[in-house]
Amino acid sequence: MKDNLNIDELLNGFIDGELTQRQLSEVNRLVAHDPDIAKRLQELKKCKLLLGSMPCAESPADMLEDIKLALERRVLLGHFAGRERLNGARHLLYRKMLSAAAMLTLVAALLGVVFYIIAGTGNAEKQFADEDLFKPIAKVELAKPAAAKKAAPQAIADAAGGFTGRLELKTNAPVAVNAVIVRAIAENSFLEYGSPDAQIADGIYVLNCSRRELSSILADLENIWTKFDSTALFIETGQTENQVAVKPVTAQQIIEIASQNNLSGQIALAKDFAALNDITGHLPGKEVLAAIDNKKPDFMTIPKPVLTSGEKTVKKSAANANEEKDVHLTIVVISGS
Amino acid sequence: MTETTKITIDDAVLVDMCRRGDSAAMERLILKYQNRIYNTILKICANTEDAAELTQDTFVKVIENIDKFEGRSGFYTWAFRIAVNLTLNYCKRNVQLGFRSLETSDDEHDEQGKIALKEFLTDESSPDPAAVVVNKELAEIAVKALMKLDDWQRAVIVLRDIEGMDYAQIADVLGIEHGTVKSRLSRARSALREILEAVIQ
Repeated sequence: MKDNLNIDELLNGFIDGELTQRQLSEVNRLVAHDPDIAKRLQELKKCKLLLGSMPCAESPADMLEDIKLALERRVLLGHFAGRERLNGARHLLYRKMLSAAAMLTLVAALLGVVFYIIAGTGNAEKQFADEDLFKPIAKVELAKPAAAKKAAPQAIADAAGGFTGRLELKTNAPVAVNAVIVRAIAENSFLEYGSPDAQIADGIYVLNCSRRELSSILADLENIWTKFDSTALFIETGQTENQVAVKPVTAQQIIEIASQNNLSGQIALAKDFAALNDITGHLPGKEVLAAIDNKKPDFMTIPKPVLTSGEKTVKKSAANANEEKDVHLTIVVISGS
Repeated sequence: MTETTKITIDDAVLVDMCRRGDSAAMERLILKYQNRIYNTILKICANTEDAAELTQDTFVKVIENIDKFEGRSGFYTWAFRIAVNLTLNYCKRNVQLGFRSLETSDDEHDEQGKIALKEFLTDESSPDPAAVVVNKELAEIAVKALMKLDDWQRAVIVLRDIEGMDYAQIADVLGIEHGTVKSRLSRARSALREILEAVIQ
């Protein structure tokens, strides 16, 4: 079958004049020696002749005109279609731009809202403090360290031996902590709740007391020291921009700093504590060491009278009254972790 | 590529003028090839109205796309490629064309044709081409036999035996290999021979 096909192809090539000289000689040889192949060649020639004898049809007379008309029609249609496409594209572009503008406006509005929400409760308060719109409300201001600065006494303690500072206590349990502080102030007989010596605001306590009194209060607070997420002591140096901070700070360290006789001594000790605390904070296994070193601070604990009646707290003793109230400490309780 | 596939000077000049918007050149190109293209299309699709429409479509497409003609093959080959593609697509959509039977035609006419065909096929001497050309019965039978071939066989045999293209041009027009042209043409002629043998029996 394949041979027949090949011979047929060869014979077709022969009658079509598509053979090489060698193939031509081969076909001539085959035809001369094989009558079947000669007959086949004759049949193929007749087929070719029959098809070639078919009359050549002429195209319709108006073919040229029809083609020209068709071309004109297509050009016109294409022109109008092009114009329609152009108009459509313009309309689409206009709509896209409108949509984009609407989206941008929406995004800007959303950003404005988000910014207002964040800025209204964050640092932007300070930034826009002069603008009426962002004026912080009084209550919030009181709860802030910045507010504490305003509430703090302007007079810096005497450089000869006084201590002026601010203690910031950050806690997740502000209610409990405030209760303990209030109680500590109230239970200490040498201070009277509501007296000018212990001005109590909302989360802010301004103590004007002696070093001994400070020790007593801090001894009470020592019991809840673990409740604080962070503690920081800022020592007023008389220069607004030059505060000295010890962060974190322990109650014992505050007592020791406050017990220094002059500001330079307080600052030097505060710097030492700050460095020490920083190193300790980076020591591995500090929690274990703290557990092993179970030494309690050497506080002077004053027996606390328990009120069983509606009697007022007894005022401090005459001896205590004679002590110099050269410690000015503002305790600020900050809510949050 | 053979010499005949290269663009002729006349065609090249006309195409170039046509590209520049010369409508006279466009008309000359159309007039030059419209009959050959129409005839080829008609032999493939076997319907005069459709052939006229397909010819018109072919030239519209040729003129519209003349800027894309790169001149790597002859304009004639390129125009025929468009024509044959359009026609074969048309045939695909009208499959029934390929199943037209010789028996559906006029019986009396067929009988005369059958006799003429029998004489033509059984005559062992070489037939006279001129005598064949004037024999209308034979021509009609040839047209009908051609319609019994499948589209691709019909296209290749029309391009070769009616349009007179060489194998290279056929390969170019149909977009197939040279060897494929040979095998398809061989099969087409064998199939045509069988169809004709069946008519006279």
